Amino acid sequence: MQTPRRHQSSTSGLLMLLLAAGAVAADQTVEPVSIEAGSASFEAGTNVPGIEIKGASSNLSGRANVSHGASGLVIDQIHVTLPVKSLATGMKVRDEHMRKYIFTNADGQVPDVEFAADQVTCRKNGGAEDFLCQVAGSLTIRGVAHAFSTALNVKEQSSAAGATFRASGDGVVKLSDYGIPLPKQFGVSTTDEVKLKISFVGRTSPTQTAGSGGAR
Amino acid sequence: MRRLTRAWIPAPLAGLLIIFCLLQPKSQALPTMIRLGYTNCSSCHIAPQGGGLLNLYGRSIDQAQSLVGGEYEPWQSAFAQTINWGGRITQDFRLVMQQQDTSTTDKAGTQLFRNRFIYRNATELGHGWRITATVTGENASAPRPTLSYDLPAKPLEVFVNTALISYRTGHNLEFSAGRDMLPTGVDIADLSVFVRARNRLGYYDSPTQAKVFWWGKRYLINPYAFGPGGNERSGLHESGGGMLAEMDVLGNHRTVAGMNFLQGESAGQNRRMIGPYTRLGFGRWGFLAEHDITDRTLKTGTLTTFRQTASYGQLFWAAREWLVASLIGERLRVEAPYTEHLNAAKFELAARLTSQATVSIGPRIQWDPISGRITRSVVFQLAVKTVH
Repeated sequence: MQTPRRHQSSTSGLLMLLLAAGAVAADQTVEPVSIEAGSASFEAGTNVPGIEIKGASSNLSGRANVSHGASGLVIDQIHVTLPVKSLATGMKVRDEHMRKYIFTNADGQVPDVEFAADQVTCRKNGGAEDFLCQVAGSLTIRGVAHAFSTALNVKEQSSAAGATFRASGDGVVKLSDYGIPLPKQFGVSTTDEVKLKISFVGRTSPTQTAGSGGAR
Repeated sequence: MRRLTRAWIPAPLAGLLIIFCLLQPKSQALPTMIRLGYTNCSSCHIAPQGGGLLNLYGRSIDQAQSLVGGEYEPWQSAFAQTINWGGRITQDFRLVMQQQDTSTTDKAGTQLFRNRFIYRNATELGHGWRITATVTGENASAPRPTLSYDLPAKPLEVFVNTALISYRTGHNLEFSAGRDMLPTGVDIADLSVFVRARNRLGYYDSPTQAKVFWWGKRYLINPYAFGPGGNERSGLHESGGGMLAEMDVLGNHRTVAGMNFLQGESAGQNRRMIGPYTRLGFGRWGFLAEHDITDRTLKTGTLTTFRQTASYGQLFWAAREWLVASLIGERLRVEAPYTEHLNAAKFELAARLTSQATVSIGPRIQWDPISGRITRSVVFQLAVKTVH
């Protein structure tokens, strides 16, 4: 007789645990985050010591959905865009060469650089609001998509106006992955690998946050 | 020039620019290129010491950084191939016109209009060997200041500034021997600044020398040995050696710091110089600085030892790729028994109109805190060169 009673007790416990887990899941409010005026920079070495090509843009923009899971921050539906025309190296002719040789596709179009990833889980990294995200997705350059991954450091700051996510990371792009021949100019040619750095601030909209502030 | 006169510059302004061009000068080494990540001169100049002729890549940058801008297209006619020995010879003619007006407290004002006509040649002999020559003819000389402890080298109407034979192995190691200006920290084109004029780096200082340049992405090492150039004054035929070394401190191609050591001996005096310097670039602007400490021992009569310090600082801002404005500060201190204190400030505006023509204007004020004497000057310069 004791066995069924013990079984009943275990079943009730499991049910309660599931209910509790469901309650936690219900607290994982998904918040849309928008990114505006983020910065992106690149560095490309050359075959000549002393010459390195650097460029930057402060027009990185995008959107993602953010929620808090048991193991940290969950970011999904990431979509980031960088207009090619906003990238500048400090020299007009070099900018023109960059757009022509790197970013112009066979149709003569200069599509924006885009990055997309489905879902990323970020683990806590030191402080309670610091996260490290291993982001793996698809980077599209001149219309060609290729796998790209980066480690993103994210710092979350919450306020009455909403949540703010300050993020920075870097990665390496190989031009050959996109079928881009190495640009050459009078004996100076760039290396295949280009270092990328990004830095941006993502913000939730105040109206969304007002209802879900308690979730955190 | 089409863009200059037709596209967006109104006719009166174009006229002013032309007048400005006719009045000004300058060009040569551009340490301000650190702002774009060019850490050393070898990127654009044939000689790793900098100044002088540009390599193909340098000519494309020269064109790109001018008001006219656009693509550089090498001259490739049959005639060009002939006179350039199938691409082995790089050469140009350069004319530098300089007008300098000076007024000093309690002294009559002076005016100097100086033209220098320069021929430069670098000939590749194959297998890494190269000969380089620079010959200058001028209508008026501009020697270093005549100091009681150091007399300037004798000016010559036709002067061989450079006559070098060089051997380069690989991308980043070069040996040179011949006559040339000695290596310097911040390679400032203006040879009248204290750090140059007071350290035997004037227009007519071309010692016989042997030097090595070894450079990489983050460093440059440049040992050198030198002897008299032949046009020094009696007792000042100096021999010695030195070492210049610099590195990109943060590895970002924008923060170069270095040091130049030099020791020289002549019958009349010995000198030992140590000169830390830096070149910093931050996109549109940057900073250049050099501080040279020179200990001299005069050997005529009783031994006299004294120290000279010369400082140079230049804050520059590229308003446009082709237009660079600079604020320059200078300081000179010479110890007793040749006590001298000088401070100077200069504003300089340099405009590269085309790859062939550069103009600049530079008002300068210098004051002597000991005598209270103030010297005001303004230099207009126009430098034109052939580009092929």
